[in-house]
Amino acid sequence: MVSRLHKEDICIRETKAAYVLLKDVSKSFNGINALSDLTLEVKEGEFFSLLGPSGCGKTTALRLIAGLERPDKGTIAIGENIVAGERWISPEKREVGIVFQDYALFPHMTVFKNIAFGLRDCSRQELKQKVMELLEIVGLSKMEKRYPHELSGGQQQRVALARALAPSPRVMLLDEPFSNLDADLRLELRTETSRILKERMTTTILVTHDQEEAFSLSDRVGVLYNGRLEQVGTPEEIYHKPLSRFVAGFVGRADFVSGRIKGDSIISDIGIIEFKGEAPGGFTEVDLMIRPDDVDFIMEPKGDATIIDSHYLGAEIIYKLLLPDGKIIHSIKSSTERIPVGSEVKIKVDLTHVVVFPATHRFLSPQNPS
Amino acid sequence: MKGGFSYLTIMAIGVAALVATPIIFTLYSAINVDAQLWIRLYDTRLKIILPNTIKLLISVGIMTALVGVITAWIVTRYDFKGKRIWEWALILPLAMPGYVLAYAYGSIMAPGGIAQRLWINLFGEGPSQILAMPSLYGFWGVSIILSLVNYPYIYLLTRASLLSQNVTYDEAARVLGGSRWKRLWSINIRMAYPGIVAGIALALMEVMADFGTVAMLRYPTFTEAIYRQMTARFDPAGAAALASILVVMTLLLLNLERYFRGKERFEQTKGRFRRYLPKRLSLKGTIFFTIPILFILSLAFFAPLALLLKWSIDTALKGGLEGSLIRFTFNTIFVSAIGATAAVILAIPSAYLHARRPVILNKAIFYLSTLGYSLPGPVIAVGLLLTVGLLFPWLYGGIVILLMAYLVRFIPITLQAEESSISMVSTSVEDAARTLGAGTGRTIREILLPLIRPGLFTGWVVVFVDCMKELPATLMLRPLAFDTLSVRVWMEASEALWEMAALPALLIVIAGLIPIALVINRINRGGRDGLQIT
Repeated sequence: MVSRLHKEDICIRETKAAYVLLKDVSKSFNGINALSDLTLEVKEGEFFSLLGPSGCGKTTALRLIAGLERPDKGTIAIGENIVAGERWISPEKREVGIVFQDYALFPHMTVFKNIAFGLRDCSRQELKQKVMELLEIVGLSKMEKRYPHELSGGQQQRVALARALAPSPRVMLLDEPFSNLDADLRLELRTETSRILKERMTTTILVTHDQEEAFSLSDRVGVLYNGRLEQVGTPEEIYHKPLSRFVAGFVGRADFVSGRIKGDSIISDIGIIEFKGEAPGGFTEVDLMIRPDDVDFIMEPKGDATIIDSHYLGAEIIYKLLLPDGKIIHSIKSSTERIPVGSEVKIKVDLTHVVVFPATHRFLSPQNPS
Repeated sequence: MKGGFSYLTIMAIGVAALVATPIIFTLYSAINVDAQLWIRLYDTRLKIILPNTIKLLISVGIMTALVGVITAWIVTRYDFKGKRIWEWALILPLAMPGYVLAYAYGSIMAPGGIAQRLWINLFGEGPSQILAMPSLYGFWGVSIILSLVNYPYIYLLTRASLLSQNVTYDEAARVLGGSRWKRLWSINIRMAYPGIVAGIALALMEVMADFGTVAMLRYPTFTEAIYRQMTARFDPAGAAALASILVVMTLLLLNLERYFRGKERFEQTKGRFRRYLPKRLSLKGTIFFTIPILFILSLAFFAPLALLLKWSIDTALKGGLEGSLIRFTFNTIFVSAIGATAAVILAIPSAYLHARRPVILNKAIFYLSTLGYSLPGPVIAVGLLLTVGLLFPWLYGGIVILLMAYLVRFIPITLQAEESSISMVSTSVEDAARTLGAGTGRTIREILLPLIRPGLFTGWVVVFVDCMKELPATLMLRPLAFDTLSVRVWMEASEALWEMAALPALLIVIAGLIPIALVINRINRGGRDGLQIT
C-alpha cells in the first residue's frame, strides 16, 4: 500500500476536511497557457465552484489539485501539506476524491468492487459494512452486484460519488459531474450530492460552465476566463457586483448603457441614477450595467423606447427594447400579459446595485457589446 | 502523471535495444564491407537475385491486386447465395504458409505425382510429352503460389474500404452523367485506393520476407541467398551485406506505400453515411461469380488441405507416424508459447508509454521497437548471429537466441495491438484509480491490464501462430536437434518425403486458422477488419 499523508485507518476515519491553496500556479500545454498565475484559497469544508466557459482552464485547475498534472510553476497545498511546488506528492497519496465528467467507473468491476477499490487494508467485515453504508447514502442499496453498464447515467454518477467518498478524502473534486444528465435528473442529483457533501463537511471544488449550478450549490464561486481568475465571491457578489465585463456577461444577461458621472449621480440614456461609489479608475465617462430584471416598462405612446422583439420563456417574457440613441437593452417581465412587438413604451429602471465600467469600448466599437 | 515512471521507461528502452540492436548491427557491418566483397557478391549473387526479386514483386503485385480487388468487389457490391460463406472463406489462404503450399504443389507436380499422372493420361507418356508439362519450379510457380497465399491482404483491406464507401459520391457522379465504368474506376476504385495500396504493400512485404517458397521452388532471391551465404558458405560479412540491401528495399517499399497513400485525402463520411446496397444477382450471375471464387479457393486452400488431410490419414493408418512427431509438436508449442508470452509482456511498457505519454522519447522507443516487423527472418537471424557472436557468445546455439528472433520479429504485433487497446481506455479511468490511492503498478495491474485483456489475448494468439509458422529464422537459429513443425515440413519436403511432411504441415495450417477465426469473428460483429492480425 502506498503510504498516505495520514496513516489513520482508512476504514474508520471520518472525513477531515482540509483547505486548498493555490499560489501563482501556471500550466501550459504545448506552449498554450491553460492557467496563468492562479492564486486561490478554498476554505475547510467550503463548497467552492470554478465557473467558466469551456477551455478557460477550470478542469486543468482541478487536475492540478488532484496531482494528475504537474504545474509549470507555483505552489499547491492541501491542508498543511505542500503537494506541488517545493515537493511533489503523487495523486495516489493526496487523499482527494474526484468525480469525473464521464464518471470513469471501472467497467470490469461490480459496483461493490468499484467502491471498495480505494479501501485497502480493511477487513472483509469492515469493507462490506463501509460499502453498504455508502450505497445507502447515495441511494443505491442492493445494487452492489451490478456492473456499471447495467446502470443508468444517474446511478453511475451516484456510484462514482460513493467511490470517491469511500476513502474519506480531505477534498472532493467534481468535474462537471452533472453535465451528462438530463435536466430533471440533473437538478435532483445536484441537490442530493451537495447535501451529502455538506453533511460530511467535505471541502468540495466543483468545476462547471453552468452559472445556475454554481450559484445554487456554492458558498463561493470563482470565475475563470482564459486561464485567469476574474473574480472570486459569493454568488450574490458575482451576479450583482461583477468586477469585469466578462463576468457581468457570463453569469447572466447584461446590457450596457453609456453615462457620465456627475457628483452623486450618473446621467445616462435611461435617466439619472443615484451613484455613491467612486468613478472607476477616475473615469467619468462610464458604461452602466443593466440586467433585464432591473428594467420594467409600461405601454405609453411616444415613450422612450420601442419593443423590437420578444421571446416567450414560459413564466416570463424577455423583451428587446430599442433606445432612441440606437442602444438595445432587455427587460424581463411576467408572462401574464404579452405586449406586442412595435409598441412604444416608457422605461423604468430600478437598480439595486449600480455597476459601472470605464467607457473604453465606446472608442473601440459603437455597438452595444451585448 | 509525470515522474515515478522511470522504471517503465527503462524497461521500454531495454526492449527497444533488444529489437533494434541486431538490425542496426547488420547495417553497420554492411557499411564496413570492402569493395572487393561487393564486387564478388554482385557477380555471384546480386546479378541473379536482384532482378529475380524485382520480377517477383511486380508479378505478385499485379496478380494479388487483381484477385484481391475483384473478389472484394464481388462480395461487397453483389448479393447472392453463398456470398456470406465466400466473404470469410476468401481469407482462409492466410492460414497456409507459402512453404506449405509450395510443398503441397511440389508433391502434386513431382514425377509420379497426381498432376503428372493426369498429364500422361491426357497427352501420352512419351518423353517429349512429359517434358512439355509446365514446371512448378522457377518464376511462374513461385509467382502463382505467393499470389495465392498473399491476395487476402488486398482482399481484406479493399473490402473494408469498399464497405465504408458512402454511396453519395457514386450518386453524385451518376447525376453528373458518369458512365458505369467511369464511376467504377474513378469513384469506387479510386476511393478504395488507400486500402488497395496498403494491401499490396503488405503482400509485397510478405514476398520479400518469404524464404520457404522460393527456396523450395529453387528460385533464388535475397532471403535464400542470405540463408545460403550464412549456412553454406559461413560468410557473415556477405550475408550482412545482402541483408542490408534487403533492409533498404523493405524501407523503400514502406515509404513508397506512404507516398502513394499520403498525397490525397479520402474522407469517407462527411455528413450522413449511406452504404451501397448490394445488387441482387440472378442464378446466372451467381454462377458467373461463384466459379472464379471457388477456383481460387480450391487452388489456394481446399485442394492442398484435402491433400494434407489424405496423406496425414494415410500415414496414420499405415502406422508410419513417427513418435518423434510428438516431440516436434511439443517443441513448437513450447517455443511459440514462450515467444508469444514474452512478446505480450515485453510490449506493455512501450505500448503504455506511447499511448499515454507520446513525448518524443517514447515515440522513438516505440518506433525502434517496431523496426523488426518489416524485416525478413533471415535478416533477423543474421543480425542476431552477428550481435550475439560478438556480445554474448555463450547464447549461441541455445534456445534463447531463437526466442530473441521471435521477439524482434513479432513484438511489433503485440505492441500495435496493445497500444491501440490502451488508447481506447479512457484516461479518466486510470486517473480515478490513482486518486483512489493506487500507484502506477496497481493501476496497470488491476485496471489497465484487465481492460485490455482482449487485445492482449489477440496479440498472444497471433504471435503464437506466427512463431509456429516461422521457418527461416528457426532453421538458422534453432539448437541442435531441436526441430519444430515448420522445420520438419521443410526437411521432409526437401528430401521429397512428401507424405512425411503432411501431418506437421496440417498442424501448422490448423493452428493458422485460429487467428483467422478471430478476424472472421470481428468481421461478423461488424467491427473494423483486423488489419493488425496476420
